Amino acid sequence: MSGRDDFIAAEPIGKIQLMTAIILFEIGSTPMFLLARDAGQNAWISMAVGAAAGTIVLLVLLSLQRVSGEQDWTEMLLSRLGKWGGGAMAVLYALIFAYESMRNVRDFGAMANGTILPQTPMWVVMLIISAIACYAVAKGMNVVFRTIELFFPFVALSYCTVALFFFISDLPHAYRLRPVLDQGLGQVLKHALPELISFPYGQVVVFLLFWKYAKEPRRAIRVSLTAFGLVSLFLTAMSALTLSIIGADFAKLVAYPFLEAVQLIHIADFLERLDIFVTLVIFLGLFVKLSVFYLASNVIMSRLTGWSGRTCAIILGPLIFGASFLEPSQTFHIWLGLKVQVKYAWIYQVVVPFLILVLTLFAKRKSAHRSS
Amino acid sequence: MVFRRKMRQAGTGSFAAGGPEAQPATPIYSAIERNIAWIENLVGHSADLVIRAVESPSSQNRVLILAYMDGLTDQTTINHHIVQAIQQQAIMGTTDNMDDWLTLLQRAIVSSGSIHSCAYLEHAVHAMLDGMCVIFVDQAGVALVAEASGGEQRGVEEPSTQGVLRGPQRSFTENIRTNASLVRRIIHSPDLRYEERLIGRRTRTRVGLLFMHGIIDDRILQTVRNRLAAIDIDGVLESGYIEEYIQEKTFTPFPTLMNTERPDAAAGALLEGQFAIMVDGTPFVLLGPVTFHKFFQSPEDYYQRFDIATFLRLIRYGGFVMSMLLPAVYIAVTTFHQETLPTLLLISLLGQREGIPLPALAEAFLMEMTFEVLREAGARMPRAIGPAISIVGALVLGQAAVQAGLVSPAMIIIVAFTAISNFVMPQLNIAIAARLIRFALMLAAGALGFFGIFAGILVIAVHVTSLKSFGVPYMAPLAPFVPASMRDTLLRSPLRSMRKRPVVLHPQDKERRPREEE
Repeated sequence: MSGRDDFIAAEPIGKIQLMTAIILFEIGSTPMFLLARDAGQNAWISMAVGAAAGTIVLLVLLSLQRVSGEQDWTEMLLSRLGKWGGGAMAVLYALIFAYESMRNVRDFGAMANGTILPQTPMWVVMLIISAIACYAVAKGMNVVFRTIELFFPFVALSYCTVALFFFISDLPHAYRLRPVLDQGLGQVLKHALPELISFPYGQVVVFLLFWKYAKEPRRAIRVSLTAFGLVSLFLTAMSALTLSIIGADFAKLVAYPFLEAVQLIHIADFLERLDIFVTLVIFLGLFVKLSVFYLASNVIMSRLTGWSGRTCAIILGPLIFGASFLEPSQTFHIWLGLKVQVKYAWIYQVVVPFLILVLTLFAKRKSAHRSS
Repeated sequence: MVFRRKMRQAGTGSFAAGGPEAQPATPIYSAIERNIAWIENLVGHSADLVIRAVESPSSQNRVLILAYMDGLTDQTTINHHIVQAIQQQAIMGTTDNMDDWLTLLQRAIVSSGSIHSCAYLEHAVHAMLDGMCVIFVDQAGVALVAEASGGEQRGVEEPSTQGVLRGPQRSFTENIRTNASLVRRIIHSPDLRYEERLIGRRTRTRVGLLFMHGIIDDRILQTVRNRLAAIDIDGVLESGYIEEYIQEKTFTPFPTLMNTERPDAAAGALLEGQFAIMVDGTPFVLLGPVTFHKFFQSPEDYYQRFDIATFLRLIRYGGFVMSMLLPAVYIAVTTFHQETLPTLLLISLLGQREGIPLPALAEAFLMEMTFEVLREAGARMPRAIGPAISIVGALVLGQAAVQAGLVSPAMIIIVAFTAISNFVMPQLNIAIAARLIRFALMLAAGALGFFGIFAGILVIAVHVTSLKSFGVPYMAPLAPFVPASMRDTLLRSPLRSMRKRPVVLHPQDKERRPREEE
């Protein structure tokens, strides 16, 4: 390994690290929003359909990783599309990932503003969170992954506790999920594709940059699939749970349906107003997502320029923070994210990797021909 | 600077400034008076240097001169085994050949524990300052160095800072050899290795490295040897000096080496594949590599029933979290997030704060600082004044502050509980980390409420996961997660089930005992 690789990942990523990273990354802030809420009480079925589609995306990505062996996404692009084409593509991806990271920073600010810190200016929260992400990313891939691993038990425990509290408080009622599929599968599909691939399932594309560093590449495939399956199940369940507590009609009206559901928890006159703690747990997911995107962008930049990961992190951090102010308003931010981006993001998440996969297979066949 | 230049000119050589491994330059003169004059000049005619001439019946014409430091040597050894032995010896035969006679002197006459000859005056002086008796022989050109060290030493006593209810009640002392022997008395194995080197240009302190051959990972051993060898320092007064020089990262509140004054703790660490570093002159022995969790484990955990030990361990973790977070959470709740509290509790809290002139952050800072001052005073003041401090602390500062309406009673409870929970850690230095972080988190909570605490914890988490102790990740076995080590991290499983040594230390011999024996 070269010195740069040493910095990026001095140690291989263990299978538990990979698993927890995929799970927390995919969870991100997703439970906070009720995705595909236009599908009404069937939103959770859309989530499941999206997860199934996401699994196909993941399979494409994993097979690409498998045929490319010891390469990460940047190297794949460079070796398939040549120095200039691949380089340009890699820069584009670095920008996309930085943009995704920026979106999360922005979400962070907005969410903090809307929940626990209504009087603090958004930029303070955003500055703090970008600085922490920069600190983590500058420490290298191992530190980011280990930090995620460290937080995983808390996040898992928190969600389990919340789910338990829901049931203790006798909040979920199945009738709110009925009628099931009243407008047929078509309506569900319409809301699931491609939006739910673009966010959150397809975002797993970012792991193309990290699978290379997994300890056992063969097992990494299985681990990734398992993690993805678990997190799909979790997200679908959370969606169904939220719907069954507050109902589809109310969920359409509020900004954070999950928090509304959590606020209904009331146990023994003591456990109430848990929404603040749940918000913090969501923040943790958001932080994981933002720092993994940041890290991905960082890894590409470091590979292309040859600078150390630390330098790249210090350059990228202010860029990401600064770029979050380019959007004129929160309305624009939401419009861009939930109306525009979700329509097209799947192209970079699936289509391009699929094309690269085809190219790789062709190239392999050609070289096999030549050698035989 | 001026002083140093003078020193260099005045000295008889570059002796004083040379490191422990400096090359000797002055061979021993054959004229005995020159040697004595050289030494006397070098130590500046110190009052505690004893020069004593002896004559031996076995070699009529020769003069022997003993040189030793009073107080570093044992008078009985010098009187009986060196002086009397030389003076009274007549039976063993005589010889005029110098070499033969020196051999005779070494083998048959002087009867102290060890004796060897040395050819350089520098070596002789060092030996003398280590408590040896140097024997100069006229016209010989060499000197004999006889073991005679002794003098006043503190005996083995009870551990004063790391007590246990059940377990051995003896502690390391200031004598490094006693300390090594205390470990040897626990591990009767030839695999227990002890390496010694001198560190400190002027103090020339003995520093011992103890490890279990065949268990400790070679890479760890090599790393610690290299780091010890690289230390270049004027003086080593305590193992803290060594700790600062060999730890990976200086700018962190978290200790990456552990210290103990308990031989059983050191022995346990060695058996797990850690090393121990002993420093002459301090009872605190360094243990490494350590992970975060080691600081929450007491040797007593293994002497007690596993269930109670597990419970106590969890209490310690809880105490750590409490002592870091409690005041910060109080500040966050009372200033930012009153709605998180159940209404009755909130009314009671706010009722207490009614009329308090200070904001919660200032109130908490004031009381925490007060406690820190009390604590430091308790550690520094002469023992006789102890009770006075507790009266001042408990009554005047606590009770009176509440009655005067300066702070709320709830705040006193918070501070008291924070303080007490800080003391449940078996290791003082991790408790100090929690104390420092507490203040940072209080500020963060005062500025941004729960989000501030959240951000603070994130920073700490990133920081601790980036730490390493001799190549071992600090947060292992939680991050990276090692399922096999979970038996002895947060929990303490029954001894029978802990068949393996900690994986994160990469021990050569992975198992404490083979499976067949089960």
